[in-house]
Amino acid sequence: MQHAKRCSTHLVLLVLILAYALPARAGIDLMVLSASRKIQTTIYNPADLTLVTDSRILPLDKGMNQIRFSWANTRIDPTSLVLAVTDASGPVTIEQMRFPPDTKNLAIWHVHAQTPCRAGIEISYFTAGISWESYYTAILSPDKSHIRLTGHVRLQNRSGEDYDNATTRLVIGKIHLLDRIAKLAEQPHPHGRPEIGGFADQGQDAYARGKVLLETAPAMAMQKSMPAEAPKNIEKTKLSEYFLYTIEGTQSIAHGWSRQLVSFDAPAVPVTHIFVFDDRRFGTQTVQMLSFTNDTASDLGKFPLPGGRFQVFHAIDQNGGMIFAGQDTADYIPVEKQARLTLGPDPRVKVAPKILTYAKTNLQFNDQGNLSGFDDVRTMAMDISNASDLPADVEITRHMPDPDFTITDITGPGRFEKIDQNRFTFFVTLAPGTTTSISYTITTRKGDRKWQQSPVPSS
Amino acid sequence: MAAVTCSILLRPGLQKALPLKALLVLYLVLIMALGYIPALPQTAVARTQVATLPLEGKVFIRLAGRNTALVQEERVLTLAAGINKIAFSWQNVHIDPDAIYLDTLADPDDITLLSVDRPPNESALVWEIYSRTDTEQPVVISYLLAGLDDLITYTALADAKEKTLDLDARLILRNFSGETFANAAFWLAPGTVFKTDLQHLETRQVLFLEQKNLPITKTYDWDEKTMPGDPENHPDAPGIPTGYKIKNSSESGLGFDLLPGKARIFQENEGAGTIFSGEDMVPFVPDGDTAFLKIGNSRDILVFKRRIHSEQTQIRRNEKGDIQVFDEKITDRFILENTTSAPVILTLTDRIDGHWEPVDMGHAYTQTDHQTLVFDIHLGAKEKKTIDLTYRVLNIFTGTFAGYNRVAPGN
Repeated sequence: MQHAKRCSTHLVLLVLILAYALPARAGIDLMVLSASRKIQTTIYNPADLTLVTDSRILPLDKGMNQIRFSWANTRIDPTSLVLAVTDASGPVTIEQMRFPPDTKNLAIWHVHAQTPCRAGIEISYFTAGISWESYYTAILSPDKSHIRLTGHVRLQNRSGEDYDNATTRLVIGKIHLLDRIAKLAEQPHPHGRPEIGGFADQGQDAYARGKVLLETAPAMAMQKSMPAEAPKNIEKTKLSEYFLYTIEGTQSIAHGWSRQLVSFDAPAVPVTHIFVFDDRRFGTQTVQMLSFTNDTASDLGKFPLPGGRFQVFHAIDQNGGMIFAGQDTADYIPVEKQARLTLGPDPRVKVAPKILTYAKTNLQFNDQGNLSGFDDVRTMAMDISNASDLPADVEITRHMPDPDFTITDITGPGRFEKIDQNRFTFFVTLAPGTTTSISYTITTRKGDRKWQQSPVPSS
Repeated sequence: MAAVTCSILLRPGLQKALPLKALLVLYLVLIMALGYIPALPQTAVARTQVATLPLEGKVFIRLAGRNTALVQEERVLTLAAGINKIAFSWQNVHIDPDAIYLDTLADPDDITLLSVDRPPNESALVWEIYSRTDTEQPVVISYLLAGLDDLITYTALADAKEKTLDLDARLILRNFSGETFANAAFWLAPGTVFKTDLQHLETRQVLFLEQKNLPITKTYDWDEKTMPGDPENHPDAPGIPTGYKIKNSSESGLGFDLLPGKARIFQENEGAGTIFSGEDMVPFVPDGDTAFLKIGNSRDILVFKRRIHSEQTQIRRNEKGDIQVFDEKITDRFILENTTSAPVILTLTDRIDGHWEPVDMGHAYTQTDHQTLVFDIHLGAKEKKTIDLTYRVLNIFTGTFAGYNRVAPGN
């Protein structure tokens, strides 16, 4: 681990008191300010947005006080800066806020106190560059009937600012945004500027300079964390359309670092192995999928699972031995819903569809004697084999380019379901080392036969 | 590749560069080993403990037929009561940083993994582990390592009469991962584990299957899809593909899944050593299926296909007299000749597209789908045989619907 010195990013809160009515004013003890500081971060996913609230106690003198806030080399959106007085021992009024023209990345609030007092203030803002993601580890039991599903959340800080001992909340849900926070943070002027013809766009230069600064900033070493005897609990709560993950205690994540925590651990989630044959999606190979349900029977179901990458391993002994079974990325999994993880092609389960017989029937001719339609009749067969050592639930989906078809004379094991006007699926379970076959007749009406719902005599 | 060294953290501010054969570094720093962080008070530095390098334990390489190897290392960590930080770093190897796992194999009340931290721009991570007591704890560290994979190759030796075959299978380990393994256990499949050394940039071959006297059937496969019907007038007539069929069953001496790989086939030459017959790719062949090893093309078996008759019937016209629909009765003739002095089995595959019905097919056949007919034909030594296939294609369309005369695949 290298010693590192952060020099490119800083966040400073200063309070200068300009008691215009009084020639003398009290100084501000910055150490006192730091001691009472509380930071909360609320990190959204997938939006690149974090709401930061920074709470402090400030001593205010009688008259006008200036609170200066600077954010050079961070990714803070200056349009989101808000100062609120949450608690004050005397009347306090926030008069105005200004971005001085001669100093970049600086905001100054003018706060008027009628009497000397101590005021609780809260500065909130949006910043880009802090993200979180979910990912999961699934370890199949030796008999492949269950998985131990462990959810993780990983926090990543590339905001340019260190957040020490911050209360951290993670939001699952898609929020509506008009502007990208990262773009607002890059603006050379906090709220942009009126368009004036003939001036070069300075925004790109500023962005490039900022980017270089961020990329060349030396990394800071890991911060000391508070001792604990158990992993941080992550409390999950519903809030409007969003789900909120609140991490127990506080987190310190230096700029550039990421931290991974266990979100949940479900030791025995029942799974089924589904082998999907769908030539539109996967070609002629059968693809193995691992399915589980986000419900209480699986020791889940208390909260939705955020989308993320799943890595699946297969435990092969009791000593931690395992093999890599595959990985997939799953989208948001609501409560009570089933998730499917695609593990890849499996040559041990084969599906071979073929046309057994073909005929053209019910030829139709119009008044001029021209051929105007017919029925395309084909007998289909699908040979299915399972050379694996487990029972295989096989799903075979077929696609019809033309919706004017009927299926009759289905024989073989399993279940048939028409998905929509162009798709149907067979569901069949095969014991290890067995083969079976499904056959059916599919009749497609062509030409004028599309408009005739009942069979007509063959010509 | 440049000489590789790795650094072991001994104490803050003192680092030692050591030439090591292993590139992965695992070091343990107790909870207060944070003095190298400049932001912390100096008092923390004094409490830093000397690092304990875990002893190397067993190493398992799980190949499982994928391009990525799962490496599992058993180590023993010396943990102090309280929170320990374990740093794991790597250099000159490609490890998926999102797939590095530490499994303590201990009671969760005794040992708990609290968090994992990753520093910026470094190939490293730090596990934060709580231990209830001072203990030495065996752990398994698992990670996905790129550049280490396996291939399967087969060597087949047929006897002079081409009735049996000796089959060897070898595992080829290719290590370009940057890591050297000593006495590692390579796991290929359940029951297939072996130990070997494997250096970086080394390729190692291990024999894992040796089966003698597998019964084989030599076949000649003529398929109308790839073979010309008039080879004498075809300048690039390749000859008829020939090879050996091997039943994958316990009766034949196999009875387990054959993994994909390249096969080189040789044949005994009755007292004059062996000859190289050819090579082919063996696909995945599950237990119970039949494998086919193609050895080459034979020009000693001749197949000609000629259309000798066609006749339109059932002609339907519109009011203008234009033909709309008709049937066609067709006779195709196969002329087969074995120029060798030994009998052969010729598998002949022909296809008839569209809506058709047989009239007189001249020989027994198996219809594998609506258009594919497979004939297994015995040809004696020097024998010449003629087979006529007569069939009727029905409802051949003209005009708008002519595109439906060929059967679209699917459904």
